[in-house]
Amino acid sequence: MATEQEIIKFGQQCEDIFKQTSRDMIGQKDVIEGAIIAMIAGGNVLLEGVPGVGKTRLVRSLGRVFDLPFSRIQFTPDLMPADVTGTNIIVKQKDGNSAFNFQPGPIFSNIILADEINRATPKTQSALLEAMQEHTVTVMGVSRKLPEPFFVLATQNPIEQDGTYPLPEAQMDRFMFKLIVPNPGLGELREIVNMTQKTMAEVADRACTGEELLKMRETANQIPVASDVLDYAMRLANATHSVSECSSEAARKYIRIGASPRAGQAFISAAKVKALINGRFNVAYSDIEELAYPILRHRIKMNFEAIAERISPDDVIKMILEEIGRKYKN
Amino acid sequence: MDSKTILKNYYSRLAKESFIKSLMWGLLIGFSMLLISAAVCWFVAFKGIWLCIVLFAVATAGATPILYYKVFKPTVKKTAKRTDALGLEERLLTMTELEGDNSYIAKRQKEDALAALKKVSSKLIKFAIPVHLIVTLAIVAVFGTGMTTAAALREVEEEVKPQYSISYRIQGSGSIQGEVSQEVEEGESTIPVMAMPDEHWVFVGWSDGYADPYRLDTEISDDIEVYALFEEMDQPENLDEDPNDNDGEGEGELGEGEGNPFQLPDEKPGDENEDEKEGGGAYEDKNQIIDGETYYGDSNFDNAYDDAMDDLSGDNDMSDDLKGIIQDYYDTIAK
Repeated sequence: MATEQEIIKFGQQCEDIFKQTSRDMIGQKDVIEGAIIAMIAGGNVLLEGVPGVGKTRLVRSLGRVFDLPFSRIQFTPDLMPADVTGTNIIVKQKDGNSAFNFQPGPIFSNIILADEINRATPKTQSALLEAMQEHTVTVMGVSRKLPEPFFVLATQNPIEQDGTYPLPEAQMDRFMFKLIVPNPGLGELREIVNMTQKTMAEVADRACTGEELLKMRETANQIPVASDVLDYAMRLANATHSVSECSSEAARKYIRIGASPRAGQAFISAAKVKALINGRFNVAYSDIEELAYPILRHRIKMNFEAIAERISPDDVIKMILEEIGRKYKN
Repeated sequence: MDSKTILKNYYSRLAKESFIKSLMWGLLIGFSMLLISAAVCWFVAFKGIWLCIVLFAVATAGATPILYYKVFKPTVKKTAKRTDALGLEERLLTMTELEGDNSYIAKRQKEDALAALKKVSSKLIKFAIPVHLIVTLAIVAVFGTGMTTAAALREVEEEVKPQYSISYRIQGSGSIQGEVSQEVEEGESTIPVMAMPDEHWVFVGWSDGYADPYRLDTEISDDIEVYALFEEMDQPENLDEDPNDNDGEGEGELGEGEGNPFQLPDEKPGDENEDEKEGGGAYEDKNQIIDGETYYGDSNFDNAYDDAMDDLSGDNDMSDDLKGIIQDYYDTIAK
């Protein structure tokens, strides 16, 4: 049960986290907020944006803010699963015999920055599946637990399609949010240039520890969700399917594959954190609606008609929100 | 303090809205009933406008409370949801669901909800009456009242339609077959009558100039009092002896029962006065020549007369053929 101290502490720590992250990041408030919400809620984040918009810097800053060990894996086509998970190597023991000794890969860390994740082959990408969902790694039949909290913060470049392998649906589904990192505005760009002229160093300080982060997750988890709000979130997730109980018109027209049940889980976990960050002790429809874009945009597969008409996942989500909101909220 | 008490003001506001909605739906049902019943009355010409109005009142009065209690009556949850729509971000909805929860989070949530509630007055809840309901009600009301007015006007019109007295009287000696005194509504027709002269009398026309003994007045627009005019005809003479002697003083004078031009040929005129007949002996059915030219010894007229009487006694109109035969006969007599 959450106590008054925990609630107060949650508020203070959130404030600190935002404050410290903002020291390294100019602008990108929505992206920062999304990444922090996902981390508190225990989800992985996929950051998509053109090169140079601060994706990697954001991940590094978060590592510093949460004071967690941080591993960066640069995904390339020749990267092998063992390069990620680690492997057994033969070592000579003191008694002269040889034995397999597990050498942990970079995944054995709290925060993993999977840079340009879509450049690796599907086989290597799949090495992350177990880690992202079960927070374990199995090598040669032996499962090893990853340290908690564990997050994968991946980046991918939307325009460099040559030599990339699109992430499979199963992999995509394991990311709680897909955040689009936009180009900075003119004012933000000026600030970025001014700041980096002085120093390129990252200055964000620790705002909380990994343990405190887990405690924050526990506190946020106790935020109540009214049954109507819960229904609304589930209906939104369900409405992305072209054939379902409350399938939406937009889904029937433009979506080939809808969101999985993980989307429903993500809605509620993230909405609770978002509500508490906003100083509210309940989840509102608005929380669900704001989270619909990062939660659903990578979980829906568009059909040919949508591609032909240049309808983006965000456009379809907007249509679904309007349709379901109109039908259900009033 | 429970949620119901907290939301009391908002609840009463929504109760008003719900009542208005129920009333509008009730009126919609009432007007629909009115429209249907008035249309039925109109088409089957049934004078039941009061029944329609009673049906409207009963349907409206019955449907309104049923709809209110079964459909529209606000609940605490509904009230919370509507109040939340004022920008309270589902605080009240969650508060109502957490009633009875004594956890710290629930307590804080309630405090948060109450603090937010203080910022919104119940008057901020706008009555949400669906536009389609208003439009539908207006249309049905216009048609319902229109149809009722039309049916009522028709009923009134039928009620006040003037009636006229039609009197067929006799001047002279004769009779009128059929209803001599009739009450006829404006624009309607009378029941046909026929002027029948007595023995030795002849029908010379109606007092309004109409010559046909058969009379049917149509499209009545005023009272009518008309006389069937009969004139006594001269006694027929014994034409066999002296066709020019028509003063009745010849050898074979007619008895009382003789000389009836309408008598059937097989009914021997003057049968009852055989002696006198024998005395005069000049007149016989087959020798009927009334105008000095036409011979009426056959049975054309008599048969036509019988058929006409049958038709009239059966409330049927006479055929044109019969009318022609009878008319010719009377015309001849009139000459």
